[in-house]
Amino acid sequence: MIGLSNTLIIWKKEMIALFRDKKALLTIFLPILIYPLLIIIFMGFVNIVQSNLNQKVSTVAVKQYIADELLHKLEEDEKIQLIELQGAELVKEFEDQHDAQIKGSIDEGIEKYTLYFNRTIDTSQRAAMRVQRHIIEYEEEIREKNLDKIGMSDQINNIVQIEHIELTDDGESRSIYMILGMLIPFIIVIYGISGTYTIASDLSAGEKERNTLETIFSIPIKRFHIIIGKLLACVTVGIISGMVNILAIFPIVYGITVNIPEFQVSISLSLFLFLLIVLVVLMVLTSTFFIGLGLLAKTYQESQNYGSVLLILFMALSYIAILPAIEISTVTLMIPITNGILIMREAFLGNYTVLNTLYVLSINLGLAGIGVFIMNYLFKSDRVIFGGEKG
Amino acid sequence: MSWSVIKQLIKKELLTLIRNKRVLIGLVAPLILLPVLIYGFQQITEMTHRSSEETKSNIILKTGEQELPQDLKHKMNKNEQIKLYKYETGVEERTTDLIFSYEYTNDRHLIELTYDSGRNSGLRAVERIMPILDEFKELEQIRLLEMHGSTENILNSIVLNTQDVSTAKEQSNYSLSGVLPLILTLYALLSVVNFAIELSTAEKEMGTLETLFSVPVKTVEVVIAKLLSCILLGIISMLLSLIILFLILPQMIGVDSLGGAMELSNILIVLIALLPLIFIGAGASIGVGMFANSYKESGAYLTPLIFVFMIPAYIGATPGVELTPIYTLIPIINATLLIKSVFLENLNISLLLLTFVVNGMFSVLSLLFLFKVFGEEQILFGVGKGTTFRLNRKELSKRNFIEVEDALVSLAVMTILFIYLSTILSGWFDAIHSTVIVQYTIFGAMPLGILWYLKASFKKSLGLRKPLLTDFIGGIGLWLATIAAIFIYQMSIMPFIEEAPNLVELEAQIKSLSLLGKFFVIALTPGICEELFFRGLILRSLEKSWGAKWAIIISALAFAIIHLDIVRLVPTFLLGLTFGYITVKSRSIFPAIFLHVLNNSMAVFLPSTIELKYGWLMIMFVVSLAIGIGIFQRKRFYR
Repeated sequence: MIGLSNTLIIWKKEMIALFRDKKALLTIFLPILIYPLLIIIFMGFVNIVQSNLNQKVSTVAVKQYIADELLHKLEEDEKIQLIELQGAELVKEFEDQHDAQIKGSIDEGIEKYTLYFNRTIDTSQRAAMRVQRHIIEYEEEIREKNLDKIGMSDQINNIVQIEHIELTDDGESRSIYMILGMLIPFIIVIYGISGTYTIASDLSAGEKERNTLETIFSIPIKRFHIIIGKLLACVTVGIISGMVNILAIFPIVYGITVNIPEFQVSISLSLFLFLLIVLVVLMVLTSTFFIGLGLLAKTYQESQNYGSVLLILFMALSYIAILPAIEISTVTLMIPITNGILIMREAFLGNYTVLNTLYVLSINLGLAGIGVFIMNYLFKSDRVIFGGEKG
Repeated sequence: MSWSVIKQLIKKELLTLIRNKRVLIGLVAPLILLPVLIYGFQQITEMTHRSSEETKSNIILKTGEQELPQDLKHKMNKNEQIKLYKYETGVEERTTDLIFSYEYTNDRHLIELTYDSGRNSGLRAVERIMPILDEFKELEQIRLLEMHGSTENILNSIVLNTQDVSTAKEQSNYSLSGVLPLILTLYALLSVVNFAIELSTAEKEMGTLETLFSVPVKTVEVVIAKLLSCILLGIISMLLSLIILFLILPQMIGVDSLGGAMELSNILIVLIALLPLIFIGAGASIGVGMFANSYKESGAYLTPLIFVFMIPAYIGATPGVELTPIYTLIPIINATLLIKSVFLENLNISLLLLTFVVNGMFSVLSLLFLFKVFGEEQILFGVGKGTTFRLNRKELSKRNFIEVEDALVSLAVMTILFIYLSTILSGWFDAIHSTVIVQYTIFGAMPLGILWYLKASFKKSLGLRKPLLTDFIGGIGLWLATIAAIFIYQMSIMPFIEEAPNLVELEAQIKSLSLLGKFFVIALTPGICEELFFRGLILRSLEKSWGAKWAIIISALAFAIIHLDIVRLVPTFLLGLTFGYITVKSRSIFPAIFLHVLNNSMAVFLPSTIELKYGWLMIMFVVSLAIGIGIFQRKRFYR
């Protein structure tokens, strides 16, 4: 296999060149330092804000009838301050003086309460939530009391018993798997794509700009092998970039979830391999298109220009996969990149469908194949490579 | 520095940028991509939503010996989104969404729902079946009660209604306040970044920067031209994107129109909030861009910068966070929160002013950084030799005055410090203590410290010269004229403002103090400290480089702004002008200190219920102005 070894030589050359470039490395590895810090700062901030908000007292106006027991409940809550309203006061103007308003009446033994609040004002919303919790609690207590009186509490409450049972053995951590399955594939792919975007321009247009292509062409290696070598280098960077970013995020995920006792997620080797295979295929797809575009450009800058449009497109395809309610269907299986992320998510849920996987891999690889064909064609054409001059 | 050269350079920069394909793509791509992407996302969401609505939930019915109650079975069969299968051994459980097992023992219906909660299809099946089961349960309970001769009132003796009183306008503004502040802040900060790279790194990489510097233009002109072109294009690109956004946003977040939020006053406030951000963004990104030698490198440098911009904006957009004096001190966060408060209709004018000042100071620092990168920081301010602050004080030599740049940098830094310190201290001490501490540290000690550090002459830099008696008399005349003008101004604006302006801050807190204490806190302390800073350090060094006129105006402006009270802005400015004029004319700081103390004492000791009449004030203004000007002009005549 001379072809393969030649390709590997080119790959090795590109990787060495890349790792010598400290600044390119910086772009890839910077996130490891920044993300954990940023997320910790941000989460800490949000926590502080939330706990501050929870400590604020809500002022609630009470009007007309209110049962003593409920009144007592509301008074006991330190976060609620009650004001008694006399006479008819306009509901519209209540925002200035208090956060929410309860209006109660009693009619043939049935207590009716109306809770007025303003959804667009956070304090009012919070006040309403607090009051509502108490009223519901009160409602249940009264109900229990009534039922106890006629001695039917147990009978009435348990006449219909509904129990929810988890289908798989994972039990509680099932929903966490669902969230991880949503996030991890998406993050890997997003950063993988941006990794290939950064490096592809350098491998194609950058080389053109530095006039080193002639040197490479002077060695006895087929142009096809050169281009495949470059493609592999690009894919490698994409995978490294995706994995590095996921590693940067893992300590945080761990830090957040370590407090949840049921949380015991382990990523099995088979899951890891599956993710890797799909990722490789997706990276091949994006790399071919980025390098292909790069070959059309004369300078690094220009290549980044054209690439940025493609980048947005690829990103958009990835975002589709995390839209709510999106799941594998005949439509979504047809969309490249999106389908890759979706089958990774399925794998997180322990579901490896051979047929779907093959389908996804072949769609993405097929597109990549078309990409390689075009790229090879472009690369062979001296007019494209050397801009009109004969090579 | 010639403006015609700068104009030429801007023209050149704009032409290069517009010819540049990358810039064009950067300008046009969002315009086309944004609607396409948003429309596409909407379509896909709708499609999946529809298809998940249409997808039937496969439910396997697993009953023991008893049959499912007829009405329950009937209801489940009637639901078109549910497809029931009979349980048979060997049925592939994975293809079903939910297993429904039923048993009736001891007069009880036992129902078990087995499903995969990690899957939408499972959750959807539960969502569909639960209402049916709840209804069934309630009916069974009522049936049971009726069998025992009770009514259903026992179950539902309490009814709770919730009513949202918000208006449609409030609701649409509320939805907007969730997204728009973030988007606007990020647009303002980041839309300049692309152009900044083209103007700095790209020019450096192509090697045309040297060519540019070889023609007879000054670096200052090049930098200003680059900055202005960058800001201009940034604003254009921001506006273009915003127009598109405003056309599609209402649809995106389900709001009828942006009409309510887009009143002229709101737009103005948003622009006031965004303008300093554009300067901060442009200054920082051109500066950082100059560090990169190649286009590739610029990516590595700009990523952290973009993070620095994005994080505060996101923090500001966190639900529940509102603009408070503390947040006002943090640039970017304050702008996001300010815009949010516009949408939530709880804008606070003094926080608006504070935000503008804080961000204004930060944009000055950002520009300072830019000029420093070009090695020409002095040109930020036009003339002089650049800032002379050095870490090693031994490098400095003795001088009479500090450089004008030193004065302006001190002004920017001390304004920020003043705002920060007063806010922080007000949390630790009461208002009186924190005022006194801030006055003595910021306005008193720091100017002296700066003068000492830069080895400037105290006597000359502060104007510590013995004044003449006529300086005081003329000063009093001018001060009275100013007071008359201020009263006239206040009476004219009184009908348009909510609270009456008063010349004293902390009015409520000082009531507990003795007369002497009041005099010390309100009159003596600010009189000495503020004058040392504004009419001493700032005015003198500006006067030396820019002439008396500009020195008086700029020091008065700074004096007015630092008081951070929009109602008192004009009165303080007028007082600043008068004190400045007197200081320049008398060539001494003492008359100004005397008058400042006098002015503040008047505010303390004069009863606030004096009847004022336009006529008397006009006469007082003309007469005392004539006396004051007369004395100062005559004095010069004698000299």
